[in-house]
Amino acid sequence: MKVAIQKWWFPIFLLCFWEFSVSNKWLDHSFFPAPSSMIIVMWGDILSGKIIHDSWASFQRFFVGLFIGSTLGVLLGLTMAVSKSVDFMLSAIVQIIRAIPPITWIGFSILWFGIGTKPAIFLISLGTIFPMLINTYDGVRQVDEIYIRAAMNLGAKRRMLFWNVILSAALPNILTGLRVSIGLAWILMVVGELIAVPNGLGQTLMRAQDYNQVDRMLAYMIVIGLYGFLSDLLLVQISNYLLRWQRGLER
Amino acid sequence: MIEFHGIFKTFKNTQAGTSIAALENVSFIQKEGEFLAIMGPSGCGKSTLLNIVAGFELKYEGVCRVNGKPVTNTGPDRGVVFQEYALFPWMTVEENMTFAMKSAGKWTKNSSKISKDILGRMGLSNFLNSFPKSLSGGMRQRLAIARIIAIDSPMMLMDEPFGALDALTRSSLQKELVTLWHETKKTIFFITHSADEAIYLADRVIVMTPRPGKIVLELNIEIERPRDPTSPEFNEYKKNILQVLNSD
Repeated sequence: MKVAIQKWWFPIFLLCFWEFSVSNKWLDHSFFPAPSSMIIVMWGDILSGKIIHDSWASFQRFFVGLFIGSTLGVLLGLTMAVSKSVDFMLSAIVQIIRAIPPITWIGFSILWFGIGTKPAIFLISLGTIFPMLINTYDGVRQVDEIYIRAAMNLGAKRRMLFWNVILSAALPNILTGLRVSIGLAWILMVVGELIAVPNGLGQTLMRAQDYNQVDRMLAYMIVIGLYGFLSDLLLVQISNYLLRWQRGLER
Repeated sequence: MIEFHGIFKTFKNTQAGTSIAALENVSFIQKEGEFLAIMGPSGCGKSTLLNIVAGFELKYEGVCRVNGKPVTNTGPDRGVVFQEYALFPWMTVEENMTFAMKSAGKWTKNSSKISKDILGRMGLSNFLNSFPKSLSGGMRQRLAIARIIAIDSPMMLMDEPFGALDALTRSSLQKELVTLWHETKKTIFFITHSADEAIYLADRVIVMTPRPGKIVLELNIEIERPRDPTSPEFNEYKKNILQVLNSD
Protein backbone atom coordinates (compact mmCIF):
# COMPACT_ATOMS: atom_id res chain seq x y z
CA MET A 1 0.00 0.00 0.00
CA LYS A 2 2.79 2.36 0.94
CA VAL A 3 4.60 1.50 -2.27
CA ALA A 4 1.43 2.16 -4.24
CA ILE A 5 1.20 5.64 -2.74
CA GLN A 6 4.86 6.32 -3.46
CA LYS A 7 4.39 5.20 -7.04
CA TRP A 8 1.14 6.95 -7.85
CA TRP A 9 0.94 10.21 -5.92
CA PHE A 10 2.95 12.12 -8.50
CA PRO A 11 1.08 11.00 -11.65
CA ILE A 12 -2.21 11.76 -9.88
CA PHE A 13 -0.92 15.12 -8.72
CA LEU A 14 0.09 15.96 -12.32
CA LEU A 15 -3.39 15.05 -13.59
CA CYS A 16 -5.04 17.25 -10.95
CA PHE A 17 -2.71 20.11 -11.79
CA TRP A 18 -3.48 19.68 -15.47
CA GLU A 19 -7.23 19.65 -14.81
CA PHE A 20 -6.91 22.75 -12.65
CA SER A 21 -4.84 24.54 -15.31
CA VAL A 22 -7.41 23.90 -18.03
CA SER A 23 -10.38 24.92 -15.87
CA ASN A 24 -8.55 28.15 -14.99
CA LYS A 25 -7.88 28.78 -18.70
CA TRP A 26 -4.12 28.63 -18.20
CA LEU A 27 -4.13 25.90 -20.81
CA ASP A 28 -6.28 25.89 -23.94
CA HIS A 29 -8.66 22.92 -23.97
CA SER A 30 -8.39 22.44 -27.76
CA PHE A 31 -4.63 21.87 -27.40
CA PHE A 32 -4.56 20.28 -23.97
CA PRO A 33 -7.89 18.56 -23.34
CA ALA A 34 -8.76 18.35 -19.66
CA PRO A 35 -8.40 14.90 -18.08
CA SER A 36 -12.02 15.05 -16.90
CA SER A 37 -13.41 15.50 -20.42
CA MET A 38 -11.04 12.80 -21.66
CA ILE A 39 -12.37 10.43 -19.00
CA ILE A 40 -15.97 11.26 -19.95
CA VAL A 41 -15.25 10.39 -23.60
CA MET A 42 -13.41 7.25 -22.52
CA TRP A 43 -16.27 6.17 -20.30
CA GLY A 44 -18.73 6.78 -23.10
CA ASP A 45 -16.65 4.69 -25.48
CA ILE A 46 -16.42 1.92 -22.91
CA LEU A 47 -20.20 1.90 -22.38
CA SER A 48 -20.92 1.94 -26.12
CA GLY A 49 -18.56 -1.03 -26.53
CA LYS A 50 -16.37 0.90 -28.94
CA ILE A 51 -13.18 0.58 -26.92
CA ILE A 52 -13.80 -3.11 -26.26
CA HIS A 53 -14.47 -3.72 -29.93
CA ASP A 54 -11.34 -1.81 -30.97
CA SER A 55 -9.25 -3.48 -28.28
CA TRP A 56 -10.35 -6.93 -29.37
CA ALA A 57 -9.43 -6.19 -33.00
CA SER A 58 -6.06 -4.80 -31.93
CA PHE A 59 -5.34 -7.64 -29.51
CA GLN A 60 -5.81 -10.19 -32.25
CA ARG A 61 -3.24 -8.45 -34.45
CA PHE A 62 -0.94 -7.98 -31.50
CA PHE A 63 -1.01 -11.61 -30.41
CA VAL A 64 -0.87 -13.17 -33.87
CA GLY A 65 2.01 -10.90 -34.87
CA LEU A 66 3.87 -11.41 -31.61
CA PHE A 67 3.33 -15.17 -31.79
CA ILE A 68 4.62 -15.47 -35.35
CA GLY A 69 7.55 -13.11 -34.73
CA SER A 70 8.70 -14.55 -31.43
CA THR A 71 8.32 -18.17 -32.53
CA LEU A 72 10.37 -17.52 -35.65
CA GLY A 73 12.89 -15.53 -33.60
CA VAL A 74 13.38 -18.31 -31.05
CA LEU A 75 13.65 -20.99 -33.73
CA LEU A 76 16.14 -18.99 -35.81
CA GLY A 77 18.14 -17.98 -32.75
CA LEU A 78 18.37 -21.60 -31.58
CA THR A 79 19.35 -22.91 -34.99
CA MET A 80 21.99 -20.24 -35.48
CA ALA A 81 23.42 -20.78 -32.01
CA VAL A 82 23.63 -24.53 -32.49
CA SER A 83 24.80 -24.71 -36.10
CA LYS A 84 27.85 -22.78 -37.17
CA SER A 85 27.08 -23.11 -40.88
CA VAL A 86 23.55 -21.74 -40.46
CA ASP A 87 25.04 -18.96 -38.33
CA PHE A 88 27.51 -18.00 -41.08
CA MET A 89 24.85 -18.27 -43.76
CA LEU A 90 22.31 -16.02 -42.05
CA SER A 91 24.26 -13.61 -39.86
CA ALA A 92 24.84 -10.91 -42.53
CA ILE A 93 21.20 -10.98 -43.62
CA VAL A 94 19.99 -10.82 -40.03
CA GLN A 95 22.27 -7.94 -39.10
CA ILE A 96 21.25 -5.86 -42.11
CA ILE A 97 17.50 -6.45 -41.91
CA ARG A 98 17.63 -5.86 -38.17
CA ALA A 99 19.07 -2.39 -38.79
CA ILE A 100 16.15 -1.37 -41.04
CA PRO A 101 13.38 0.31 -39.02
CA PRO A 102 10.29 -1.92 -39.34
CA ILE A 103 8.13 1.11 -40.20
CA THR A 104 9.95 1.45 -43.53
CA TRP A 105 8.41 -1.86 -44.58
CA ILE A 106 4.94 -0.28 -44.75
CA GLY A 107 5.19 0.21 -48.51
CA PHE A 108 6.10 -3.37 -49.28
CA SER A 109 3.73 -4.76 -46.70
CA ILE A 110 0.81 -3.11 -48.52
CA LEU A 111 2.15 -4.24 -51.90
CA TRP A 112 2.45 -7.82 -50.73
CA PHE A 113 -0.53 -8.16 -48.41
CA GLY A 114 -2.95 -5.46 -49.57
CA ILE A 115 -4.70 -3.37 -46.96
CA GLY A 116 -6.28 -4.68 -43.81
CA THR A 117 -5.07 -6.85 -40.96
CA LYS A 118 -2.35 -8.77 -42.78
CA PRO A 119 0.18 -5.97 -43.31
CA ALA A 120 -0.19 -4.98 -39.64
CA ILE A 121 0.55 -8.55 -38.56
CA PHE A 122 3.48 -8.62 -40.98
CA LEU A 123 4.96 -5.47 -39.42
CA ILE A 124 4.57 -6.77 -35.87
CA SER A 125 6.10 -10.13 -36.77
CA LEU A 126 9.02 -8.53 -38.55
CA GLY A 127 9.77 -6.20 -35.68
CA THR A 128 9.55 -8.82 -32.95
CA ILE A 129 11.66 -11.49 -34.65
CA PHE A 130 14.97 -9.77 -33.99
CA PRO A 131 14.92 -9.10 -30.23
CA MET A 132 13.89 -12.74 -29.76
CA LEU A 133 16.49 -14.02 -32.19
CA ILE A 134 19.40 -12.08 -30.73
CA ASN A 135 18.55 -12.86 -27.13
CA THR A 136 17.89 -16.54 -27.76
CA TYR A 137 21.14 -16.78 -29.69
CA ASP A 138 23.12 -15.14 -26.88
CA GLY A 139 21.35 -17.20 -24.24
CA VAL A 140 22.17 -20.50 -25.91
CA ARG A 141 25.76 -19.48 -26.64
CA GLN A 142 26.28 -18.49 -23.02
CA VAL A 143 25.11 -21.79 -21.53
CA ASP A 144 27.83 -22.85 -19.12
CA GLU A 145 29.76 -25.79 -20.56
CA ILE A 146 29.65 -27.58 -17.21
CA TYR A 147 25.87 -28.12 -17.42
CA ILE A 148 26.27 -29.79 -20.78
CA ARG A 149 29.13 -31.91 -19.47
CA ALA A 150 27.15 -32.95 -16.41
CA ALA A 151 24.06 -33.80 -18.45
CA MET A 152 26.06 -35.82 -20.98
CA ASN A 153 27.82 -37.62 -18.15
CA LEU A 154 24.44 -38.56 -16.68
CA GLY A 155 23.58 -39.99 -20.08
CA ALA A 156 21.09 -37.35 -21.25
CA LYS A 157 19.85 -37.91 -24.78
CA ARG A 158 19.54 -35.03 -27.24
CA ARG A 159 15.90 -34.29 -26.45
CA MET A 160 16.49 -33.94 -22.70
CA LEU A 161 19.73 -32.05 -23.25
CA PHE A 162 17.87 -29.59 -25.43
CA TRP A 163 14.69 -29.06 -23.42
CA ASN A 164 15.84 -29.52 -19.83
CA VAL A 165 19.30 -28.06 -20.06
CA ILE A 166 19.99 -25.75 -23.01
CA LEU A 167 16.57 -24.16 -23.31
CA SER A 168 16.14 -23.85 -19.54
CA ALA A 169 19.55 -22.25 -19.18
CA ALA A 170 18.73 -19.79 -21.97
CA LEU A 171 15.27 -18.95 -20.60
CA PRO A 172 16.33 -15.76 -18.76
CA ASN A 173 17.65 -14.33 -22.03
CA ILE A 174 14.62 -15.49 -24.00
CA LEU A 175 12.30 -13.74 -21.55
CA THR A 176 14.35 -10.55 -21.82
CA GLY A 177 13.90 -10.77 -25.58
CA LEU A 178 10.18 -11.29 -25.15
CA ARG A 179 9.94 -8.19 -22.99
CA VAL A 180 11.56 -6.04 -25.67
CA SER A 181 9.39 -7.70 -28.32
CA ILE A 182 6.16 -6.96 -26.47
CA GLY A 183 7.09 -3.29 -26.22
CA LEU A 184 7.84 -3.19 -29.92
CA ALA A 185 4.69 -5.10 -30.81
CA TRP A 186 2.44 -2.42 -29.24
CA ILE A 187 4.19 0.32 -31.19
CA LEU A 188 4.05 -1.60 -34.45
CA MET A 189 0.43 -2.57 -33.90
CA VAL A 190 -0.58 1.09 -33.78
CA VAL A 191 1.64 1.88 -36.78
CA GLY A 192 0.13 -1.01 -38.71
CA GLU A 193 -3.38 0.20 -37.94
CA LEU A 194 -2.68 3.63 -39.33
CA ILE A 195 -2.81 1.93 -42.71
CA ALA A 196 -6.40 1.40 -43.73
CA VAL A 197 -7.84 -1.20 -41.38
CA PRO A 198 -11.55 -1.03 -40.56
CA ASN A 199 -11.14 -1.00 -36.76
CA GLY A 200 -8.68 -1.11 -33.91
CA LEU A 201 -7.22 1.29 -31.39
CA GLY A 202 -4.76 2.85 -33.84
CA GLN A 203 -7.42 3.30 -36.49
CA THR A 204 -9.87 5.05 -34.15
CA LEU A 205 -7.02 7.24 -32.98
CA MET A 206 -6.31 8.21 -36.63
CA ARG A 207 -9.95 9.05 -37.25
CA ALA A 208 -10.13 11.12 -34.08
CA GLN A 209 -7.16 13.06 -35.43
CA ASP A 210 -8.94 13.61 -38.76
CA TYR A 211 -11.99 15.04 -36.98
CA ASN A 212 -9.90 16.91 -34.43
CA GLN A 213 -11.52 15.06 -31.50
CA VAL A 214 -8.78 15.90 -29.03
CA ASP A 215 -10.52 14.21 -26.09
CA ARG A 216 -10.81 10.93 -27.94
CA MET A 217 -7.22 11.18 -29.25
CA LEU A 218 -5.96 11.50 -25.71
CA ALA A 219 -8.32 8.79 -24.42
CA TYR A 220 -7.07 6.26 -26.95
CA MET A 221 -3.44 7.20 -26.40
CA ILE A 222 -3.89 6.58 -22.70
CA VAL A 223 -5.66 3.26 -23.35
CA ILE A 224 -2.79 2.09 -25.58
CA GLY A 225 -0.31 3.17 -22.94
CA LEU A 226 -2.21 1.29 -20.25
CA TYR A 227 -2.28 -1.90 -22.29
CA GLY A 228 1.46 -1.67 -22.86
CA PHE A 229 2.03 -1.04 -19.17
CA LEU A 230 -0.20 -3.93 -18.08
CA SER A 231 1.26 -6.40 -20.57
CA ASP A 232 4.75 -5.58 -19.37
CA LEU A 233 3.64 -5.96 -15.76
CA LEU A 234 2.12 -9.35 -16.57
CA LEU A 235 5.28 -10.52 -18.30
CA VAL A 236 7.44 -9.44 -15.36
CA GLN A 237 5.19 -11.45 -13.02
CA ILE A 238 5.40 -14.52 -15.27
CA SER A 239 9.18 -14.13 -15.58
CA ASN A 240 9.57 -13.85 -11.83
CA TYR A 241 7.70 -17.11 -11.42
CA LEU A 242 9.56 -18.98 -14.17
CA LEU A 243 12.93 -17.69 -12.97
CA ARG A 244 12.26 -18.12 -9.25
CA TRP A 245 15.23 -20.50 -9.12
CA GLN A 246 17.53 -17.52 -9.68
CA ARG A 247 16.54 -15.99 -6.38
CA GLY A 248 17.28 -19.07 -4.32
CA LEU A 249 13.95 -18.94 -2.48
CA GLU A 250 11.96 -22.03 -1.69
CA ARG A 251 8.99 -22.85 -3.79
CA MET B 1 38.85 -51.38 -13.65
CA ILE B 2 40.52 -48.22 -14.97
CA GLU B 3 43.76 -48.49 -16.96
CA PHE B 4 46.10 -45.74 -18.11
CA HIS B 5 48.91 -46.75 -20.46
CA GLY B 6 51.55 -44.23 -21.44
CA ILE B 7 49.32 -41.15 -21.44
CA PHE B 8 50.83 -37.96 -22.90
CA LYS B 9 48.81 -34.79 -23.13
CA THR B 10 49.96 -31.39 -24.33
CA PHE B 11 47.91 -28.20 -24.20
CA LYS B 12 48.81 -25.88 -27.05
CA ASN B 13 48.23 -22.16 -27.03
CA THR B 14 48.15 -21.45 -30.76
CA GLN B 15 48.11 -17.68 -30.32
CA ALA B 16 51.15 -17.51 -28.08
CA GLY B 17 52.79 -20.42 -29.87
CA THR B 18 53.51 -22.11 -26.57
CA SER B 19 52.63 -25.55 -25.32
CA ILE B 20 52.40 -27.06 -21.86
CA ALA B 21 53.06 -30.72 -21.14
CA ALA B 22 50.11 -31.53 -18.89
CA LEU B 23 50.79 -35.26 -18.68
CA GLU B 24 53.94 -37.19 -19.45
CA ASN B 25 53.96 -40.96 -19.66
CA VAL B 26 51.33 -41.62 -17.02
CA SER B 27 50.50 -45.29 -16.48
CA PHE B 28 48.62 -47.04 -13.67
CA ILE B 29 45.73 -49.36 -13.02
CA GLN B 30 42.86 -48.97 -10.60
CA LYS B 31 41.17 -52.17 -9.46
CA GLU B 32 37.44 -52.54 -9.16
CA GLY B 33 36.15 -51.36 -5.79
CA GLU B 34 39.37 -49.56 -4.98
CA PHE B 35 39.38 -46.10 -3.44
CA LEU B 36 42.15 -44.31 -5.30
CA ALA B 37 43.28 -40.74 -4.68
CA ILE B 38 45.31 -38.74 -7.18
CA MET B 39 47.07 -36.01 -5.27
CA GLY B 40 49.23 -33.13 -6.40
CA PRO B 41 49.53 -29.33 -6.66
CA SER B 42 47.59 -27.39 -9.27
CA GLY B 43 48.88 -27.85 -12.80
CA CYS B 44 50.03 -31.43 -12.27
CA GLY B 45 47.44 -32.75 -14.68
CA LYS B 46 45.31 -34.61 -12.14
CA SER B 47 42.04 -33.12 -13.38
CA THR B 48 43.08 -33.87 -16.96
CA LEU B 49 43.35 -37.52 -15.94
CA LEU B 50 39.81 -37.42 -14.59
CA ASN B 51 38.58 -35.74 -17.76
CA ILE B 52 40.16 -38.53 -19.77
CA VAL B 53 38.45 -41.33 -17.80
CA ALA B 54 35.18 -39.41 -17.77
CA GLY B 55 35.35 -39.11 -21.56
CA PHE B 56 35.40 -35.30 -21.60
CA GLU B 57 38.93 -35.22 -22.97
CA LEU B 58 39.46 -37.41 -26.01
CA LYS B 59 42.59 -35.92 -27.61
CA TYR B 60 45.72 -37.40 -26.08
CA GLU B 61 48.40 -39.97 -26.73
CA GLY B 62 48.29 -43.34 -25.05
CA VAL B 63 45.46 -45.62 -24.05
CA CYS B 64 42.79 -45.26 -21.40
CA ARG B 65 40.52 -48.26 -20.85
CA VAL B 66 37.59 -48.71 -18.53
CA ASN B 67 36.69 -52.36 -17.93
CA GLY B 68 38.82 -53.30 -20.89
CA LYS B 69 37.17 -50.94 -23.36
CA PRO B 70 38.86 -47.79 -24.68
CA VAL B 71 37.06 -44.62 -23.57
CA THR B 72 35.32 -42.97 -26.52
CA ASN B 73 32.60 -40.91 -24.85
CA THR B 74 31.17 -39.94 -21.47
CA GLY B 75 28.39 -41.83 -19.78
CA PRO B 76 26.52 -42.72 -16.60
CA ASP B 77 28.71 -45.75 -15.92
CA ARG B 78 31.34 -43.21 -14.75
CA GLY B 79 29.41 -40.69 -12.68
CA VAL B 80 31.31 -37.46 -12.10
CA VAL B 81 31.10 -35.27 -8.99
CA PHE B 82 32.39 -31.82 -9.92
CA GLN B 83 34.03 -29.29 -7.63
CA GLU B 84 31.52 -26.70 -8.87
CA TYR B 85 28.66 -29.14 -8.11
CA ALA B 86 27.19 -28.79 -11.64
CA LEU B 87 23.64 -29.11 -10.35
CA PHE B 88 20.97 -27.67 -12.61
CA PRO B 89 19.90 -24.47 -10.85
CA TRP B 90 16.50 -24.34 -12.58
CA MET B 91 15.51 -27.74 -11.17
CA THR B 92 14.52 -28.41 -7.57
CA VAL B 93 16.45 -30.96 -5.53
CA GLU B 94 13.96 -33.66 -6.46
CA GLU B 95 13.87 -32.61 -10.12
CA ASN B 96 17.66 -32.81 -10.28
CA MET B 97 17.42 -36.43 -9.09
CA THR B 98 14.64 -37.21 -11.54
CA PHE B 99 16.58 -35.70 -14.41
CA ALA B 100 19.64 -37.80 -13.53
CA MET B 101 17.67 -41.03 -13.29
CA LYS B 102 15.77 -40.38 -16.51
CA SER B 103 18.95 -39.43 -18.36
CA ALA B 104 20.67 -42.60 -17.23
CA GLY B 105 17.70 -44.68 -18.28
CA LYS B 106 17.06 -45.76 -14.69
CA TRP B 107 13.58 -44.35 -14.30
CA THR B 108 10.98 -46.90 -13.23
CA LYS B 109 7.79 -46.91 -11.19
CA ASN B 110 9.71 -47.05 -7.91
CA SER B 111 12.22 -44.37 -8.80
CA SER B 112 10.45 -41.53 -7.07
CA LYS B 113 10.58 -43.48 -3.81
CA ILE B 114 14.20 -44.54 -4.37
CA SER B 115 15.11 -40.93 -5.01
CA LYS B 116 13.44 -39.82 -1.77
CA ASP B 117 15.21 -42.58 0.17
CA ILE B 118 18.61 -41.54 -1.14
CA LEU B 119 17.90 -37.88 -0.42
CA GLY B 120 16.81 -38.83 3.07
CA ARG B 121 20.03 -40.76 3.62
CA MET B 122 22.01 -37.71 2.47
CA GLY B 123 20.11 -35.46 4.88
CA LEU B 124 18.16 -33.61 2.21
CA SER B 125 14.62 -34.75 3.09
CA ASN B 126 13.51 -31.28 4.06
CA PHE B 127 14.74 -29.72 0.85
CA LEU B 128 12.96 -31.76 -1.84
CA ASN B 129 11.37 -28.67 -3.36
CA SER B 130 14.27 -26.28 -2.80
CA PHE B 131 16.37 -24.93 -5.60
CA PRO B 132 20.15 -25.48 -5.45
CA LYS B 133 20.74 -21.77 -4.92
CA SER B 134 19.10 -21.93 -1.51
CA LEU B 135 21.31 -24.83 -0.38
CA SER B 136 24.65 -24.52 1.38
CA GLY B 137 27.81 -25.73 -0.35
CA GLY B 138 27.85 -28.93 1.67
CA MET B 139 24.25 -29.72 0.82
CA ARG B 140 24.84 -29.01 -2.85
CA GLN B 141 27.69 -31.50 -2.91
CA ARG B 142 25.52 -34.01 -1.02
CA LEU B 143 22.95 -33.65 -3.78
CA ALA B 144 25.62 -34.08 -6.45
CA ILE B 145 26.70 -37.33 -4.75
CA ALA B 146 23.07 -38.42 -4.28
CA ARG B 147 22.59 -37.96 -8.01
CA ILE B 148 25.43 -40.38 -8.77
CA ILE B 149 24.09 -42.90 -6.24
CA ALA B 150 20.68 -42.63 -7.87
CA ILE B 151 21.98 -43.55 -11.31
CA ASP B 152 23.69 -46.54 -9.69
CA SER B 153 27.02 -45.79 -11.30
CA PRO B 154 29.62 -48.46 -10.43
CA MET B 155 32.33 -45.79 -10.57
CA MET B 156 32.43 -42.38 -9.01
CA LEU B 157 34.90 -39.86 -10.42
CA MET B 158 35.36 -37.00 -7.98
CA ASP B 159 37.18 -33.84 -9.05
CA GLU B 160 38.25 -32.02 -5.87
CA PRO B 161 34.67 -32.35 -4.65
CA PHE B 162 35.25 -30.85 -1.22
CA GLY B 163 37.72 -28.18 -2.30
CA ALA B 164 35.26 -25.31 -2.01
CA LEU B 165 33.86 -26.31 1.40
CA ASP B 166 34.76 -25.11 4.86
CA ALA B 167 36.90 -27.41 7.01
CA LEU B 168 34.08 -28.74 9.23
CA THR B 169 31.74 -29.52 6.36
CA ARG B 170 34.61 -31.08 4.47
CA SER B 171 35.53 -33.43 7.28
CA SER B 172 31.95 -34.58 7.81
CA LEU B 173 31.52 -35.21 4.07
CA GLN B 174 34.79 -37.17 4.04
CA LYS B 175 33.45 -39.41 6.83
CA GLU B 176 30.18 -39.92 4.97
CA LEU B 177 32.03 -40.75 1.79
CA VAL B 178 34.02 -43.50 3.50
CA THR B 179 30.80 -44.98 4.92
CA LEU B 180 29.15 -44.76 1.52
CA TRP B 181 32.10 -46.46 -0.12
CA HIS B 182 31.97 -49.32 2.43
CA GLU B 183 28.26 -49.80 1.78
CA THR B 184 28.25 -49.56 -1.99
CA LYS B 185 31.70 -50.89 -2.92
CA LYS B 186 31.95 -48.35 -5.70
CA THR B 187 35.23 -47.73 -7.48
CA ILE B 188 36.18 -44.21 -6.44
CA PHE B 189 38.63 -42.09 -8.42
CA PHE B 190 39.31 -39.09 -6.23
CA ILE B 191 41.24 -35.97 -7.24
CA THR B 192 42.59 -33.73 -4.48
CA HIS B 193 45.38 -31.28 -3.73
CA SER B 194 45.32 -32.13 -0.04
CA ALA B 195 47.67 -34.83 1.28
CA ASP B 196 45.54 -35.15 4.42
CA GLU B 197 42.40 -35.76 2.44
CA ALA B 198 44.09 -38.34 0.21
CA ILE B 199 45.55 -40.28 3.15
CA TYR B 200 42.33 -40.08 5.14
CA LEU B 201 40.18 -41.46 2.34
CA ALA B 202 42.06 -43.69 -0.04
CA ASP B 203 43.36 -47.25 -0.25
CA ARG B 204 46.13 -45.98 -2.46
CA VAL B 205 47.48 -42.50 -3.17
CA ILE B 206 49.17 -41.54 -6.42
CA VAL B 207 51.24 -38.36 -6.08
CA MET B 208 51.93 -36.19 -9.12
CA THR B 209 54.11 -33.15 -9.78
CA PRO B 210 53.63 -30.45 -12.44
CA ARG B 211 55.59 -29.31 -15.54
CA PRO B 212 55.38 -31.92 -16.90
CA GLY B 213 52.62 -33.73 -15.01
CA LYS B 214 53.95 -37.10 -13.98
CA ILE B 215 53.65 -39.67 -11.23
CA VAL B 216 56.37 -39.37 -8.57
CA LEU B 217 55.07 -41.61 -5.82
CA GLU B 218 52.55 -44.39 -5.19
CA LEU B 219 51.56 -45.27 -1.65
CA ASN B 220 49.31 -47.98 -0.27
CA ILE B 221 47.73 -46.56 2.84
CA GLU B 222 47.63 -49.41 5.32
CA ILE B 223 45.79 -47.82 8.22
CA GLU B 224 42.52 -49.25 9.53
CA ARG B 225 39.47 -47.07 8.94
CA PRO B 226 38.21 -44.83 10.46
CA ARG B 227 41.57 -43.14 10.30
CA ASP B 228 42.89 -40.64 12.76
CA PRO B 229 44.66 -37.74 11.01
CA THR B 230 46.62 -36.99 14.17
CA SER B 231 48.11 -40.47 14.60
CA PRO B 232 51.87 -41.05 14.10
CA GLU B 233 51.42 -43.48 11.19
CA PHE B 234 49.16 -40.98 9.41
CA ASN B 235 51.87 -38.35 9.78
CA GLU B 236 54.47 -40.78 8.53
CA TYR B 237 52.58 -41.08 5.23
CA LYS B 238 52.13 -37.33 5.08
CA LYS B 239 55.82 -36.68 5.66
CA ASN B 240 56.60 -39.13 2.90
CA ILE B 241 54.40 -37.31 0.41
CA LEU B 242 55.48 -33.79 1.33
CA GLN B 243 59.14 -34.77 1.06
CA VAL B 244 58.64 -35.89 -2.53
CA LEU B 245 56.66 -32.76 -3.40
CA ASN B 246 59.17 -30.40 -1.83
CA SER B 247 62.24 -32.04 -3.34
CA ASP B 248 61.46 -30.54 -6.76
